[in-house]
Amino acid sequence: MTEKITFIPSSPKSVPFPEKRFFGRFKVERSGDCINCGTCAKFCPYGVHDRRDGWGSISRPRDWFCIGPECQINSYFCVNNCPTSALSVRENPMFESLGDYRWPPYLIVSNWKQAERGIPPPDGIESEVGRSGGGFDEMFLEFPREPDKNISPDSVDLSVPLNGRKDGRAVEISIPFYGGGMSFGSVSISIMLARAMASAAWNTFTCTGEGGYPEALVSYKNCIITQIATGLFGVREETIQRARIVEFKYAQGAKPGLGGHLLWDKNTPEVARMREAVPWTSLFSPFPFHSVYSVEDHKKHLDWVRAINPKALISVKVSTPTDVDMVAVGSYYAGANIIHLDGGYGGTGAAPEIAKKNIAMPIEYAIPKVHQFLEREGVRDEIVLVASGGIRTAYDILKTIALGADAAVIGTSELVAVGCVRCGNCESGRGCPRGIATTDPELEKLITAEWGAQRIYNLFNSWVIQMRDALSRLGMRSISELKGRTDILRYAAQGREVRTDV
Amino acid sequence: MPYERYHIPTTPAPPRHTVIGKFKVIRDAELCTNCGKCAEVCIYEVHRRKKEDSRSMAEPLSHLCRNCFRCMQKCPTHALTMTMNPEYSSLGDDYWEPHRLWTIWYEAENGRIPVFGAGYRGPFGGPWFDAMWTDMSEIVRPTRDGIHGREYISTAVDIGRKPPFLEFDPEGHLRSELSQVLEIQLPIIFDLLPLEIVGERMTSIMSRVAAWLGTLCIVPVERSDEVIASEKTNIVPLVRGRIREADFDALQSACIVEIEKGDRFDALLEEVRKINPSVLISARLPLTPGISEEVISLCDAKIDVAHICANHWGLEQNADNPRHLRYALRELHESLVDRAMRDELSFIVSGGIAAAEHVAKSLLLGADAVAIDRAAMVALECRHCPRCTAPQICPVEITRADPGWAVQRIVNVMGAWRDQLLEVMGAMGIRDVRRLRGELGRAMFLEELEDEIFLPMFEESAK
Repeated sequence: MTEKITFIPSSPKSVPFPEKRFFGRFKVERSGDCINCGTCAKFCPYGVHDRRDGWGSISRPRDWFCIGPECQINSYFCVNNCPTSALSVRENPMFESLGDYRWPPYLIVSNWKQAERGIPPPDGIESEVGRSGGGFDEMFLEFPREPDKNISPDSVDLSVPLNGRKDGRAVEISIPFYGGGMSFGSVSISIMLARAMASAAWNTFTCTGEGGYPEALVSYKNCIITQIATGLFGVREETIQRARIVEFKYAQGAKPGLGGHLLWDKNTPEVARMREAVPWTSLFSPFPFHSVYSVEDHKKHLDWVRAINPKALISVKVSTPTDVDMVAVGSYYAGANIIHLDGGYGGTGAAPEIAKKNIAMPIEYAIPKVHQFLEREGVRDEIVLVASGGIRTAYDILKTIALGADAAVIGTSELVAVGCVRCGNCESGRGCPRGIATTDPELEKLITAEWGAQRIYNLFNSWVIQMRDALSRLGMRSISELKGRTDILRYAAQGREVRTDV
Repeated sequence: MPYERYHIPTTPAPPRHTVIGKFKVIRDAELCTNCGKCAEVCIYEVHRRKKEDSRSMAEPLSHLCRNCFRCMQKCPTHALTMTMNPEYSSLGDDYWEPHRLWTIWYEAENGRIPVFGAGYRGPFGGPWFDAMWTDMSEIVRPTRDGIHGREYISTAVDIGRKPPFLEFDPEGHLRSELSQVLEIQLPIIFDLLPLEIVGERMTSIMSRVAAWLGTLCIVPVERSDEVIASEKTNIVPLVRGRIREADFDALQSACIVEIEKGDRFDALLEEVRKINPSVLISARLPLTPGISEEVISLCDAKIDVAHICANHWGLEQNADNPRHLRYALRELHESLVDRAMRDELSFIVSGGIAAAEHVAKSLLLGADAVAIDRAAMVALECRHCPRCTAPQICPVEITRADPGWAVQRIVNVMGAWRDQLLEVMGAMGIRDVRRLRGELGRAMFLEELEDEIFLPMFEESAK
């Protein structure tokens, strides 16, 4: 019954947005004076101008690749080279209306550039951090002045084993991150497939979320984590049996201590079938597992999965309360292989604003707290610590690992790669205007799985280049050397500043 | 009495004036060919054709825009552009930020918890209340499922003094005098509204809201005659100057009377107690650096409630370097706990309570209840203009609001705030809001987390 694998990306390829034009920070305009001489296309190293063979005229400027008026110091600045002065470059007034503190416009556009071409963009530090004023955004990697030249970036090993227990069940991912849970229903099947295809290409994982395991994904089962969450939607024996990793979702960073909620208009007959529920009804995923009120109960849960699939590794996804370290060590003793901390900056689904902002501590504090506690308990090497919730860039992944995690889990950045603009309307059915977080049959068609897979593949490719480069500059030969190396991080600590003027 | 779950019924109450949105969609009429592609792709209904002439497109309804940029991408002539709405960015001030005002407007209109997708998008920490997080429970402790109604979480609080212990005589009869407490259904009461221009009708609007919600509103005693008889027990007459004979009625029917802490406080106190011996007394005093001593002296005078008023940013008054409630309240609470006298009076704090999370956080820091003022005005579409002097210049004509609509808008905000309080308590596994008071162990503070976790790690780089 296994379907044939239809597509796995294998190399970075240029995949622009289908609309051909998307805005960037600058606007490049070509006036009617243009004589189609092609000088600009010849000079521009960023590929803003393009003159294809056999075409009569130059294509519309791809201004999202432009580096702006600052370029004028370069000999190749198109505006200066244009013989008829037909070109102009200026700030795009629309740019600032994109994004937010966590995902400022330049971060979104930088992600898009990577997803389009698969190589790191020529942007500076501003494509590495957001402007939230604390946490990852005020944390920087400190590179030694004279890097060890003997390490070539290509030789840096980015693989991470996901089982620390010496029980012979080896599962390894080739890149230090995997995809977080997004349920069928919260996102469309094309997005799930795109993520699975990209994960297959990079030998990593993606997660089904709590919404069942659509048949279309079965052929990618080696790179799919299945989730068991409190609603137990779509959890069946065979879904657990086919997974190499089973994830228990105890809490979600965007709504810690609160249940999940799929609004009725997203619960189409197709979604309902997968979840074994009644179509067009709101589906609540309660909080918490009403059968788990202690570590002993928790162990019983894990034992139950082990009885069904003894081979699977078990991941436990938790949020970040004050005693998150106790939760982690409890999970270790209950037999978990992976402890997954989820912070509030991520999450694709709808969540109350008050929960995202105020409940549970930011992930940047939780990672070192748990890492150090597990070390003191002497069990750190036996459990794998992963973190998610607002990990947006390759640099965030490196910081996560430097703070003490083994690997990172990402989600939103994959969605941005396929065109998410973070408008935040993911909760409703007609929902996502970009055809991502939707089950609307019409909107869903905006994105095909293959196109999305290639964009996510490209993003990962660019990240891998950035991470290898950074690690080699840090004098490290493998990602595992970075774990817990907080000494190479600098914290600007602006988050502490308190305003007292009136 | 039949068992009844407390519930706030909310009903949509649309705004009278167009809400100021964050974005501005601009259509270049010269470029637009009226093809209607934008209306086709927009799922928020920003674009539509003109009612009177369907051949051309109407002005975009920018306040509905959620910046998905689809129309701009689809427009064949690039006639559409978007900017941040300057009117939005210039709203309010640094504390009453545009986003806060917008959130209250949303709550007032819908009576629902604001829910959006794609994770938290705001700053990491921030000043004061923003640099504070509340706890949650998982695996090792239970949570409560309040919002979906499966478990009842109580938001009722007691206002008044409680004896620290009971004394009995040798025969076993109770010797201590039991003090009175007043139970209100929400840890939120209504303070005097900050703006004089709102006029007389506000008194009756606020008392109606208080009666509907089973809580209290503070009304200057000289205006208590504007309140109808059935709502007299829901008002807290505020005594500031001389007590007139006309005020006796209000003072006698009230459960609690507030007296401004000033030179004549003792005299007024004596007078009020003579008029109504069993009434609870609340002392209204500004939040100042010396607040702890003042509150302790109130305990000695057997005052039941200290109503502590910060300024509208939640800052200390009359201080060179004013501290926020976040610090002052915690210090005050802890100083009374240290003296084993915390239950000898209740704290109500006001000023700077601008969002649902501020209620939960104030309670965690030690308040028994909060009083809101400006937030109630914002519920009535107030834009927090820098100058608010005469009703004629009010852009939303606040004095001309229909009282029924005004009551519903404020009730909607309270309904949404209570639901959010239930979310916060449910996540912590707390079933009774009384248990939230002063639960500092279930709160996390940015500076403490930084000292505990970041400082040891970054000590080197800090040097």
